[in-house]
Amino acid sequence: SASPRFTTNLKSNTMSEERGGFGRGRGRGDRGRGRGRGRGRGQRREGGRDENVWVPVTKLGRLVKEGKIGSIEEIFLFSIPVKEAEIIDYFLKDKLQDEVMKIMPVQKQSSAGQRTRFKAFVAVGDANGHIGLGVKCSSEVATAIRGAILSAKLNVAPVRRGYWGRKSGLPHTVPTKVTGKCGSVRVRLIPAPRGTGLVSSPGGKRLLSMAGIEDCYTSTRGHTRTM
Amino acid sequence: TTCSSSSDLPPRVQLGFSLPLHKGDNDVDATDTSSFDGQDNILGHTSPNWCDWDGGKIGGLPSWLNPRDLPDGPLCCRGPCSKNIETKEGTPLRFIAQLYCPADDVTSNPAAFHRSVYVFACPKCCSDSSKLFQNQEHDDGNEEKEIPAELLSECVRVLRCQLPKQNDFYPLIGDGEADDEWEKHTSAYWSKNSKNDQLNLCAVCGQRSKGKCPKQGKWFCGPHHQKECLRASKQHQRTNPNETMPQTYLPSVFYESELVVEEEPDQVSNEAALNSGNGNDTDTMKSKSLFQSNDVTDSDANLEQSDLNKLTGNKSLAEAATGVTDPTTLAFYARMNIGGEENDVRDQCLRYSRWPSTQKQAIDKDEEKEEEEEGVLWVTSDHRPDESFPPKCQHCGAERAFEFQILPQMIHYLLNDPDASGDNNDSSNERHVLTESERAVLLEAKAKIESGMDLPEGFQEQHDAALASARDALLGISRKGDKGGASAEEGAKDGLDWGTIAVYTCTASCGDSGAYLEEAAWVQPPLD
Repeated sequence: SASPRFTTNLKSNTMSEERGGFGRGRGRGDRGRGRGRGRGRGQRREGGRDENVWVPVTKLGRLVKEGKIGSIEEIFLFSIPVKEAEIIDYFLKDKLQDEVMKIMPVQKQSSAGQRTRFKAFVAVGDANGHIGLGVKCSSEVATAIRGAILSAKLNVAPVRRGYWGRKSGLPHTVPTKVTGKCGSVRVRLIPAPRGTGLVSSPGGKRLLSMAGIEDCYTSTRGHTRTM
Repeated sequence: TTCSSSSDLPPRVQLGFSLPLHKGDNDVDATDTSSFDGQDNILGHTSPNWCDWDGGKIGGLPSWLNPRDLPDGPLCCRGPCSKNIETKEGTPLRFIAQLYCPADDVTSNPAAFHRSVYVFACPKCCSDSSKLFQNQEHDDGNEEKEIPAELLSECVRVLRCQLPKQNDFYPLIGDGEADDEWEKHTSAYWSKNSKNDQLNLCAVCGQRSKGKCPKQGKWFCGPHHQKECLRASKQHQRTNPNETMPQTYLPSVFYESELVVEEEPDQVSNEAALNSGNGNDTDTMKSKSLFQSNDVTDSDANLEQSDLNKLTGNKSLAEAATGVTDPTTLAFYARMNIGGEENDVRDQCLRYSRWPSTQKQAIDKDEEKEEEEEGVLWVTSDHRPDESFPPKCQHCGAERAFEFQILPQMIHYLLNDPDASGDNNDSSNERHVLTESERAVLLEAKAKIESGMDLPEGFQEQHDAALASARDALLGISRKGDKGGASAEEGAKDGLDWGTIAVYTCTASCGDSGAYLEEAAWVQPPLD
């Protein structure tokens, strides 16, 4: 049982009582041993932060950081799930572009009326065989966009490319005719000869070029108004 | 900024970061005015000046708060590896981290004036080759998909020790008045004083020892560590005959670093985050998108991430998306990025939020949890504890509550030598790295298969088998469970893996005897 004298000491918070450690709130005093001060990261950086060092969170991330994975193709070859966006950043670095495809309001009926939030659709791609789509809903547009970019990076897929005719040079078009569907919309991609370019709606053009397809015919049917 | 729906602000989360140890001369900075004065590290409780104690430490050997009443050693796993008929007890656990977190003010218990918590993990069960993790792989039609999560939590053990201000080991005044000859904070002192040989700590794990090895002249807690030390010193002798073996050469000892405390930053303001110039209002940002729609009835409103993944054909062999659709995981990453670029906190190793208030506001189930929840930041939505967890304190009956969690980033610091240069050549050669030609062969084979041309019989199967074995070697998974492989894995440092370790402690912070009491932990399996 605490003696009265003891309790008083605790409350008076004299210098001899001050302790550091976790959970001490603001009473940690001058123990500014965080990373920025004294011997923190500031010293390692040598004046200013050049780059934020990536500390991996997944086993694959640790393998990538150690240099045990040669290319992103290896990851897709082995079908190892990529659960860390920095892995994508590591391999694709500056080549990765992102594009906000669409922002739309969505509403939910609640007892206090309607609640509007924003849903952002983002595509990321390196124009060289990798594309990712992300979606995020949030009450603020900026948060939604940021979240969608993160989600897109976490869901990158490889794009198979092929030839129209002669197998010379690098693949430049879709390997075969292929149809994708979403809801009532059907989109057909058809191989095109080199130099055709992307024959498509603006949205389709953007996506195909981000994926690394140079030449393609497209044909759509269904309720395509929104794109 | 989102407004908090509760009247009180949620408790501020503190983050733990790993800092390398300073070596002494090289690191002394003339302009450095911090409280260190160029001294060597005073990690854990190696110094009796407890005013300097802060944060904690990661890796190395545990620094005991109470150097005399150590737990009965060695601490062993109570999980799957202990159920093996051959061995009577589980694998000895390895020390992960310790924190200093006094609790006398919060609990009004003066016996918690000094308080430290220690975390130990099983190298066999919390690793890549652990049976507990293998269910997650695209295995050969194994029926059992569920990882028994409770089992995984038995592979981690947590000890808490606390002392009142007046105790047998540390001076009453903690700010440097103790002279250099103060020894009562060391186990060595008590082993001499009370003629207790067990307090000559084990050379490998730093716990109570059972005997001295005559050949090596060191104390050990048991045959496991005695063998490990012998093997390691022989190996070290072969490769570096002129140096003394560093402690971290032992597989059971992880690389040591300091654990420092920082406050979690506030959510970075939206303007800065998007690098947009001016006009950051909603309309301007909306106009930056390719397509706008103000039509609330637009059917795209129903598209979710998994739908998008189907569109990009993003599937692995196991038919699950290779990407991430779990909202908990996405929220985890979003929280890591909370500081944006100016205040990058992605390298945090530990999140501390002692006993957050348990009042749960009645949030609609479908309302997205944008406001950060106090308490544990889980990494996945499955493998979470149910209401029966955590159990009440077995020592005093009080409730347990969440205190802190260890994040997967800590593994990086545990396994990587901060002093070593970029190329690690010793133990990491165990992992098979594909050479350029091997890679090219596999990729070419894949291209052939995809092009649909006629292939010799069995090509596909051979290719699949080659892929599978290369993949397993890369990820360090041993499927056969052969003796040779198993012991190699057991020895290795790497392979350690987890999603997060959430530690729950007695809310009364009971115990005034200075003993090491056991607390509860919940382990989530790794993200991948």
